[in-house]
Amino acid sequence: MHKSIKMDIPVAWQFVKNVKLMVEETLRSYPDNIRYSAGMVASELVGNAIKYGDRTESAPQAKFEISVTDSHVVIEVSNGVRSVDHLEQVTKRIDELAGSTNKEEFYLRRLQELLSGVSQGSQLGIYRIGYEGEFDLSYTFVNQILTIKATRGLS
Amino acid sequence: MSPENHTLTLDELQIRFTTEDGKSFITWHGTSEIQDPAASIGGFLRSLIPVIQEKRVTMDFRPLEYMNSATIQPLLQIMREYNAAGIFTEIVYDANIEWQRIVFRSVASISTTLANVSIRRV
Repeated sequence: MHKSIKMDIPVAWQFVKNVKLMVEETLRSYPDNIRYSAGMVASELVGNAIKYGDRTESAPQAKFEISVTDSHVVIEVSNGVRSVDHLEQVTKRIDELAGSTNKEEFYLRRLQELLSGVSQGSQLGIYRIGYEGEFDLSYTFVNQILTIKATRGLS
Repeated sequence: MSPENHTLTLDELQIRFTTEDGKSFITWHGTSEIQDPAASIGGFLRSLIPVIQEKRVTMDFRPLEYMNSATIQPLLQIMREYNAAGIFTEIVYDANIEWQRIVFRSVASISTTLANVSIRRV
């Protein structure tokens, strides 16, 4: 079985809720934890694309894709980048998770920063995807387009 | 129910403050998926501080179906502010709901320095 859905991401926050519901519906035959996690991942990535993405000549439209095979679910979001700072923060977090066997450590550290009030803005979503959602994250940055790919096994 | 009952409604999220038999409850219902909840949720919960200062309050998340990561920041911030205001806050979550178990177990592990905050799983 292979199912793939591709959508343009409008600059409208309502789409975050719609895409989460669509992902959960796409995975309705899978266990609750897979369906919930995939919905959360889609919501966080699309939310980031709307909040921090930019429409550029090379990336006039942010895009969302979910692919489901017998063995994996893959969620991919592409968008132009508004600021180098945000790009560096996101890619740093993904690199940290990719190089770690203890994703909880990064999630807890970010929670601690938020609790202590030393850091503004949530910026928790990437760690939540890796730890709570148990998705593996990777990215590419080509022609000013950031593509974040989240993958989880279905076994 | 007392006159001190307040409700914040944001899209599909409702946060209800109620008092019954001298006890105060802040109960979260629905889903929290708004873009910038820091001002709205934080502002609502902060507005309750004069009402519950130096009292006990139960913050019940069991009816909450989902919250985005942006919601966690104002929650942590208000935990810190309630703690400083001498409000004895008991956070209650449903350990049978996976996301609640993961989020609140993590919050419990980082909030041990907040002497007036406790987290209870049911």
